[in-house]
Amino acid sequence: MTNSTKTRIYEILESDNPDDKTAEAVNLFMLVLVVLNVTAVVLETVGSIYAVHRALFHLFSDISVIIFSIEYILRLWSCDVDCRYSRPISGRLRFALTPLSLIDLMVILPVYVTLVFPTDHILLRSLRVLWTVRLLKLSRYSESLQTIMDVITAQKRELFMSFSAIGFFMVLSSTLIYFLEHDAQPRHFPDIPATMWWAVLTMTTVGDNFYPVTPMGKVVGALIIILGVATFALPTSILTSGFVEVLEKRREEGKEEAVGRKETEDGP
Amino acid sequence: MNTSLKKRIFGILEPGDEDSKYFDPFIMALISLNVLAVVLETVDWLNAGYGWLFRAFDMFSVAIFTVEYILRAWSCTENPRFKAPFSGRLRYLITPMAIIDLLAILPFYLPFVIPDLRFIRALRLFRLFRILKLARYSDALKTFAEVLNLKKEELGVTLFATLIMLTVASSMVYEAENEVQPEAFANIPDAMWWGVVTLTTVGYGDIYPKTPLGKFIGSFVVIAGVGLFALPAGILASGFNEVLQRRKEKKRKRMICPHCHRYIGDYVKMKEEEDE
Repeated sequence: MTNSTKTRIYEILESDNPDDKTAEAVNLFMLVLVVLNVTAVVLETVGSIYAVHRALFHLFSDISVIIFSIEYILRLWSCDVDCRYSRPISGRLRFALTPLSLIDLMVILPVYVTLVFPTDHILLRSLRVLWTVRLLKLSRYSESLQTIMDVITAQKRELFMSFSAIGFFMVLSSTLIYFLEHDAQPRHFPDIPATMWWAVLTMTTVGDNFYPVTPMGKVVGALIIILGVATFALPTSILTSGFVEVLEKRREEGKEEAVGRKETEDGP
Repeated sequence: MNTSLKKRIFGILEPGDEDSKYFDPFIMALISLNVLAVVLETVDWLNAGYGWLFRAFDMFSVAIFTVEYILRAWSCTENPRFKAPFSGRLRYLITPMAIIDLLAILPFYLPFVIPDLRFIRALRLFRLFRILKLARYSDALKTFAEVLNLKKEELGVTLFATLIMLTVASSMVYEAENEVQPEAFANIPDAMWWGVVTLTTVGYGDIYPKTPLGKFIGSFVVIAGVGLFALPAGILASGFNEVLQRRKEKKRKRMICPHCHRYIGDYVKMKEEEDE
């Protein structure tokens, strides 16, 4: 009896079977709760809203934490029906160490710690935004998220290369600009790390309100900008071409499948 | 004995083989730490508190880089390209990597020869050449150099076109703006700074056209020029793609028939056909 209840609970909490109506409902409820929590965290930082609805925010946060705690305990209790975590203690421990369980624990635990040592720390309640990671579990339903992951995996060498080129270029250019501009503007270019911030804002074409002013700084700066903007654009174009590749491959696979199906239909 | 020692040292210094299993990561870490030190040294409170540490580390690294430089120059004759003891070594010493190695240690020794303070300060900048020593080990930098080499004509042409566009546009905006804003658009080079900042879409907003004519020319220039300035980015990206694609293709092994020793197709292709 307990065993079948346990199995059912595990199915509901961990299921990815779209035909299981109860599991879908529970899943949807948890997701809505996550979205509402994130909204609450964002709104809490707006002073005027927080001042008026303080009690409501706290109540909502407490209720959510309780619900997530119950879910966490149920999961931990029922996970041993899964063959991967079948050992009562070491299996559960391994389940607790999976990234998603760890994140749940990381959000829930601090709240209980504040119950024992009462402090009203906004950071602790802001940890609830970490629950958004749960949305990643949706990736198995969502093809687009899967495509993004595919593209990144396929192009990871290229991406790594372009990011190292960017890092290299950034160090080189900010050191040059620092040495050319530091004496003229010690406030804006106080040290190389601060100049790196200038480099990032400039090469991403965001633009900043400090810039080289000495003639030499402007000449070198102009060259750096022309080359740097091109270098910083590399990851974007790598991702774009990766996307085109993956989508094309998928389209071809789709065509082949359709042809195959037609042949089997025509065959007999 | 002497030659075998030389061979061993050459093997250790040359990146990427079994002999340099420990040396490569060590020297890479040392170079990276050096770059980090050059960057962090400029932060006032760090330099005030740990200045001695930065100087000690600099001395330590220069000692190692110097030994490395001398050993490389000594053992380079093991490389068939630089076989001749004198002219070969000389030719090695003027390779780009050897020059970079020299520039990385020179800033430390020069002040002993020329004790001029302003000169010493400028030399600090040259320590940055240490970052270029990474080129020997970094795949990414090698690829980047290959891309630049492959696309140098296209890049040259676009940069030339960009320069012409920039000069013409800046002169026109200068003519239109100089009277109203004699300080911001004091000369054409100043207007060119505006041009670069605007056409790369960075837009600092330190100087901008204010007269109707200047605004008209400015908007025309921007619409026409933004695309031109985006070209180098596209060329670099396509070069990257090309180089990496070529490498992937090289990796496909050629299949040779074991009986007649004739080429019978690519390994990867064969496998794909099997899968189908």
